[in-house]
Amino acid sequence: MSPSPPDGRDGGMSALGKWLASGRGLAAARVAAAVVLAWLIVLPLVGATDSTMFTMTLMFTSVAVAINWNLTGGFTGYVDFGHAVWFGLGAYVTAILMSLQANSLGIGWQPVPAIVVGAVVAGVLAGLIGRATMRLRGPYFSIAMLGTFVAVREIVRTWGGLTGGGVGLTLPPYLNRQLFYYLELALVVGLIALTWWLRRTRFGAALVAIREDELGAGMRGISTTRLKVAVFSFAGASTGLFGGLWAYQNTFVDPDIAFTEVRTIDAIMGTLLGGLGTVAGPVVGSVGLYWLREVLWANLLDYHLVAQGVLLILIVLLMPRGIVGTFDRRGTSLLRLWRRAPASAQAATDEHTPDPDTADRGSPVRGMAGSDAEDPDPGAGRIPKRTDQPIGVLEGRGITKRFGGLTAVNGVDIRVSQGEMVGLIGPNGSGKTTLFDCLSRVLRIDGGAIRLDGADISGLPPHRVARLGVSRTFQIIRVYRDLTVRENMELSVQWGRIGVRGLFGRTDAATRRKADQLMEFLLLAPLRDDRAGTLSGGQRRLLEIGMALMSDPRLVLLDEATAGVNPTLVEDIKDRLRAVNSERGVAFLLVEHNVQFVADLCERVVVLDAGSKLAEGTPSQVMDDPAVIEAYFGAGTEAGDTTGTGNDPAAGTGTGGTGSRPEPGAGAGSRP
Amino acid sequence: MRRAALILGIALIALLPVVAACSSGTSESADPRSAPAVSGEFAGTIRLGAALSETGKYSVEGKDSRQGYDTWLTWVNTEYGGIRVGDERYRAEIVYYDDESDADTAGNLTQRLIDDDRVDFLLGPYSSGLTTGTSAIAEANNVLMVEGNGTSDTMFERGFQNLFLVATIASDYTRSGIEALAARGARTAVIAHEDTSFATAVAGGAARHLEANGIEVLAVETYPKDIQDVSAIMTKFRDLDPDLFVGGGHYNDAVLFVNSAKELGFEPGGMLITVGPSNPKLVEELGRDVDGVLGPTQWEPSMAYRGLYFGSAADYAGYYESLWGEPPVYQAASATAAALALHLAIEAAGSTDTDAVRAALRELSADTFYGPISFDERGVNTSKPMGMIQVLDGDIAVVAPDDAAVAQLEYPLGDGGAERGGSGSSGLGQLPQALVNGIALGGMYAVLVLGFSVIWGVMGVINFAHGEFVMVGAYLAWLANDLWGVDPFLSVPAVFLVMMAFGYGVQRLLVDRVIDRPHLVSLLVMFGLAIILQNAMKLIFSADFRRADTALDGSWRVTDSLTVPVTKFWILIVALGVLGGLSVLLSRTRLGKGIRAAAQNREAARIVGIDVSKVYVIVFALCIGITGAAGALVSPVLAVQPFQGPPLTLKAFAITAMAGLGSIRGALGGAMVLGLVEAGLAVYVEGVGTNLAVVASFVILVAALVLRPQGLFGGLRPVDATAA
Repeated sequence: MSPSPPDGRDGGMSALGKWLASGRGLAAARVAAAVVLAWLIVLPLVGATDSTMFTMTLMFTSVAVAINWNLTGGFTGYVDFGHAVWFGLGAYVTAILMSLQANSLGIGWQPVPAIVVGAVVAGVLAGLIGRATMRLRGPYFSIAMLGTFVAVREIVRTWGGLTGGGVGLTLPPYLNRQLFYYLELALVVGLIALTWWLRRTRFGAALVAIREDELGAGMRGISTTRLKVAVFSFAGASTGLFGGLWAYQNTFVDPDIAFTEVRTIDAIMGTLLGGLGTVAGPVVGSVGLYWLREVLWANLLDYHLVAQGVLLILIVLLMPRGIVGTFDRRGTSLLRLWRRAPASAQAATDEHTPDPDTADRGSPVRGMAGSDAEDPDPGAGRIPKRTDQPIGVLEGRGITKRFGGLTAVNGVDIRVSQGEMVGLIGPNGSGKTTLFDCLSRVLRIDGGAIRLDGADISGLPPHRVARLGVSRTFQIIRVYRDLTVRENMELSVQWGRIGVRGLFGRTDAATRRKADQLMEFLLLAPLRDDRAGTLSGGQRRLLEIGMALMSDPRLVLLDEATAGVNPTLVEDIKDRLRAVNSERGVAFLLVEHNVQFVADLCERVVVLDAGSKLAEGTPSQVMDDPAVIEAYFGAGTEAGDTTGTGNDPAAGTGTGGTGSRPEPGAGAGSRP
Repeated sequence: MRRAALILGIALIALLPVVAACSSGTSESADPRSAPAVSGEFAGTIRLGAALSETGKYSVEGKDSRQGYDTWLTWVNTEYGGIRVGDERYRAEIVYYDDESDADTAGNLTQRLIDDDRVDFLLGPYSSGLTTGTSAIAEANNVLMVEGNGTSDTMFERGFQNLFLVATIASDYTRSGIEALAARGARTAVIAHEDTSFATAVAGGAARHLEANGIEVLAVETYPKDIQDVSAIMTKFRDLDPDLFVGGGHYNDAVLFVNSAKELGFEPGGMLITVGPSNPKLVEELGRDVDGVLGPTQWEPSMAYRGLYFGSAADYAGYYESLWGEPPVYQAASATAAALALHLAIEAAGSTDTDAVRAALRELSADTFYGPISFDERGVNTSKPMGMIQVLDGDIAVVAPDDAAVAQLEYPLGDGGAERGGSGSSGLGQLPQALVNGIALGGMYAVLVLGFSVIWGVMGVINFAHGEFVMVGAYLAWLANDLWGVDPFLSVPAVFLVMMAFGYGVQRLLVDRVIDRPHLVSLLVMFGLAIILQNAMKLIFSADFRRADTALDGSWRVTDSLTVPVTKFWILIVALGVLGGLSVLLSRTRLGKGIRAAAQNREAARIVGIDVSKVYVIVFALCIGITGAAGALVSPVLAVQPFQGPPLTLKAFAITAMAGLGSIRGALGGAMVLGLVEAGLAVYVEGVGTNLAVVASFVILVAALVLRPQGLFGGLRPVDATAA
């Protein structure tokens, strides 16, 4: 837990904050936690009444639900507005199984198996429902879960034969408060330990990567769907477990008390108050909320509900990081979740075909490829295995992609061979980025085939393509802005190699070494502990290239590596790319506006125009091609007025001087 | 500056409750009226405890119950001179906690009463739901609980030793009424009940008593709580043409059933509604429409019961009114009776020992102002019959059982007894009515959802407080109606303007600050606002259900099996007008073009010189105006109450998810689809159709999001889609 770097956007921390974030403050916090735990353990032994223990178990329950909510809401960034559904399901399954005793069959379920089965059922259903709803992003996911919550509650109410309908189910009273107290204390402590540990594993890091940039995480080989659904399912099971325990203690369930939205609201408010995405946040926040209610609002009657609304607004507006998050910067801020893109990113999108960003975000569904991201592999036997051989061939044949009536890429053949550097150029809207997205499987192709080393990869999800050794960067930079440079690098490892055991391990020494070497190589070493969000555009480009290289790729698809980069850094990038290519045999496919950059690096260039291949050859051959000049002239005069970007037709002549031009896309008016 | 203004504004709101709390004093202190004016020496104190709802959904009934307990307390300490145990007199004391109408809290507080306050006995909370949980704790701790306001049968099937109910159990609510109606010749009946513990028990009991009295049950329909529309159920029932209608669950349901029956021309010989008719508010609210409606009652001041303590029922009512300045409702009388039964048992036992008092309760047989009290082996008072009242010329009169009756039962009503020739009861015969119901519902949904959809589409703000803006608009219309008799249809323009101003304020104070922040922020801020509005309105207007009166009511009977509800027809017409107007505004005016531009690309709109902030202010104010006006429109049809918002917000989500954001045609189409699906399911599925209709909207919501996220009808591209 190293102290966080200063961050201008969040303002300075108070002296207290600095102390708490320092090693000594942390030690003090740990001692305090140990004291609290010891006190909780001896409490029943020194004469706490049943009533006290009952109060405490209710508090343990709300803490546990908040922790579980934070796993998906805080770490993974999926804000679940219907989390209480798992509580209700666990409670109902437990109650149904236990009340079978009254059944003529006489199959009495004991509480322990009933509660465990309840948790399992909640977890399995969470997995199934999560598979469907986690394709949705941001608010759409939240609302879908809210709908799920109400729908399940009403189904339980309607399915009277099994659930007792609106009347509910009554269980035999058995109330050993001390037993429940210790059981739930142990479970809560276990849950805290689990999240603490999870946060330190690659799994936890991958969840944060999903929160920060899900498409990017997928492109870097993380099987995002599997991980986020797994954690959602676990959170569902864990909340279901507490639901079952609650049902047993309450001796009575009906749809309205088992499925109450208050549990979700309390979990969200507690987590926000404590700190989203931190380990201690939900604990501190839930306990704080509980005492706030007991102490401060006890005499305010209905006004306390008004005050609760005011508190929620205040937290959201004034303390978006929460109590713990203010000190532990590894949590996240509300302001970062479901971030709206900065205006500049929008303006920089000069292609009218969707760039990866809008392809991801234009629809509520996460990533167009998300729908087939986890399709069971139809012919697993034919799927190529990753080798460390330099790339043989990436070959696209007749690639076609349509958006509604618009054919953005029309039957293009493209090929990158071992160790080759190939450039892909073309006027605005010619389909370069779309072709890229097709090759890296961000977009599903409508026609043609993509082969890697001779095997068809047209149907693979993006993370599988990444695991085969094909990395990419993005036109709009995708780095995990809330993480440090080092964390960004270490997250971009070869996920295909990690396996389940590795997933639950911490970053190993070899990975750290590799990250160090690459950061050194890419001139990022001095910035290694800075948050990626604080880097300049050029530094972020370098970081993104570094991230692409972390997985030891055999082929890197570079999308506009020089856009928004100052000219001296452009030379650095060029130099580094050349070195990677010659020293490591990594092949490159570059999409560029900066034609000089391409001409300097590539031995072969492909020119696209209006979605079709216009020309292919060495840089000089292509530049002299009349059709290419025509395309640039034509497109230039037409598009220049409407798009305001200056793709100087002179660039097509390759007569030099283009390298010193301002980057394309940065503004209008570079036409003479 | 803005931040300072925000903090100031919020601090003011936050201070409000503190000020209010200071001025009203704390609730924990004992009520002055219940303080013992010590007459004579007490040998000690017998301490009772109760968790009661001072806040939350049962706050009104909780207050009545508490006044009932305190009536006994005042009486026993001041008039009666303390509880006599052997030769000693003991002062009685009751410790109260507020359970916030929440089951967990009630359970926790009951445990606290037992452990920390060391109460000798417990009195019940209000409602079956809360009594179920708290009685389990009493049972586990071997503390007696005597109660009068939790009557569900399931509670007494658990074999508990420590729970006693002085009131009539739920399944016997309709017994005396049905017996009287059977004697007058009723032969067929239909039942509709809310799918909750209490209402299900009442309806189950009703079915048994109907069969036992030779009345055939033609159909049983259930519906979920918080229902807003029962026309499908009434459509089915009308075609069955029964002698009797038995139904209900909550006060609001009674209003819905009476109104809907009138709209659809359903005229049974008798309407027995399980909750509501005994409440004078219903008569106030519905006027002559409720004439002839029957309802069960636990107790009425006019009943002919008399006992050793408190005297007659009327004497008790007089004493109660002298303490509290209002006549007792039966919840209060039940609470007093529960405390009295415990008191009598303690005296009979001559001890406060739990086992002795339990035995005395079992043996108890007393006549009281509340009726006879004696408990069976379950702990249920089976000797007191339920009364039945009938609304006769605007008065509530007890008509059964005979020994409590003060008026003659009127049956059958109107032409309800006459056979109307069995019409086709299912299939195509109901299709026209189902279509009419569906379109009427759809028109209502369309105008209700419009503002939500446009705000989301144009501004990218998910207005979680949408339903609350509807609610505020509805209250404004109701207020105008109540104070000055303005027809809600006429107050629509005024409500529109007021709500526009309100929307402007909310936009400037809150929304403007979060518009550029992530969706989660605006979502949570609006959610906080929803909580504030709900509870503020509850503090101002109480949680009572209100309804505005309109001259445009009743129904047009097209054929015997097809009627058109007049109010909903006019709502549909106004809704189409609003939709058309907004559509013209968006497509034909400069402002409309600006709005659409800002919706599609905020940055680009800014670049070409559109003042996006101004557009947002206008859009938000306009949409809140429309939303409030929609609330005014539906105020004669939907019950106006502080918590009517959330279901409407969820419906708005469902329709918007189905239809696409910000599309006016989509809002109309989605609303019609949902209206028709709900009406169709409710009419064509037996028994649980209305429940399924509620489930349907949420299944549609989730399915539409997962399968067709762009919506069925296209629409404006949401801001978040391009600039997320």
